[in-house]
Amino acid sequence: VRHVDYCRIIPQGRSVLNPDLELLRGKHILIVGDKFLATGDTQREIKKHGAQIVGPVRSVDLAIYLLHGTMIDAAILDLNLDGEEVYPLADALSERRIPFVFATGDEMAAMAGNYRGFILCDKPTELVVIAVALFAPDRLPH
Amino acid sequence: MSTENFSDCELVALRPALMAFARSFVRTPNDAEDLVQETLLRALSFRHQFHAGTRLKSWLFTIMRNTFYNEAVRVKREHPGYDECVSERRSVAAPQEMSQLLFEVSNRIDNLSPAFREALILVAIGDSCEEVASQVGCAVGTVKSRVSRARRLILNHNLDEMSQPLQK
Repeated sequence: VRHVDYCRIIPQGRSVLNPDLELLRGKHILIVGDKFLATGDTQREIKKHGAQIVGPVRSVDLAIYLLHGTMIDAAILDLNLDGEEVYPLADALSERRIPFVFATGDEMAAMAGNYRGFILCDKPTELVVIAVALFAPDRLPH
Repeated sequence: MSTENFSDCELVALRPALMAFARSFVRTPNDAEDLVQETLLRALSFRHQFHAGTRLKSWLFTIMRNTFYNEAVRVKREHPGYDECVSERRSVAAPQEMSQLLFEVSNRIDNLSPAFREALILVAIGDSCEEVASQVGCAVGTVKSRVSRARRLILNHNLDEMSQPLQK
């Protein structure tokens, strides 16, 4: 049996298995960021739930270029991307009504404090948060 | 007369767009509201730094991103010296109930028989029952029943009374 942190597996007795991961099935997801954002494990986990990954691409310009003529249902952008540089991409995505979130791949740092954002890692629990935010935002808790 | 480069009306008009942007940074609509508020407040206090010719929407987006990012980095930095950020809070939730509950749950997981524990953990970390069955070398139905019995063993034993303080 792999080493597992029990505390994270069963938060208040609930299983991490979540039908909302099915939201990812068949979706084309653009990932923009460096190699620390979407590691091999993370990419495998995303693909495991039936999504296709476009990228990961490192440059914002290339990402904008890909918006023309590439099938993209949603995007995950690196929180580390500079605000002014990434704005044209965020703007282009919202104009096309393509849902997107900013995420950090630094799972440990994000878990450490009162981080309110998204974490892109190979944990189904984190992936499901992103899946709901992208594809079923009305179901988010208040 | 001030030399402000954008009016309050322009700011208000961009609120829906800012709300949409905020939803891409934080998980919940409430946090998104907060982030929009923080962004607008900052925009107002830095309005003298806004250059005519800059697009207001892009300027506000950058403020929002930096507000959120700096807070995320601050949270990260403060973690080792935890006292500083605790001192900023007015009250702190008692952590002992939750840690007691987690301790109890992990104890119960440890006390499961190895076959049950293995099935439960593999399924809990996201493997399907079919995958677990092939890894462990038993029928899918066996995995399912081991998992559900393991869950019952962990949850049924008066965990209710332990979790009551948490439901306040």
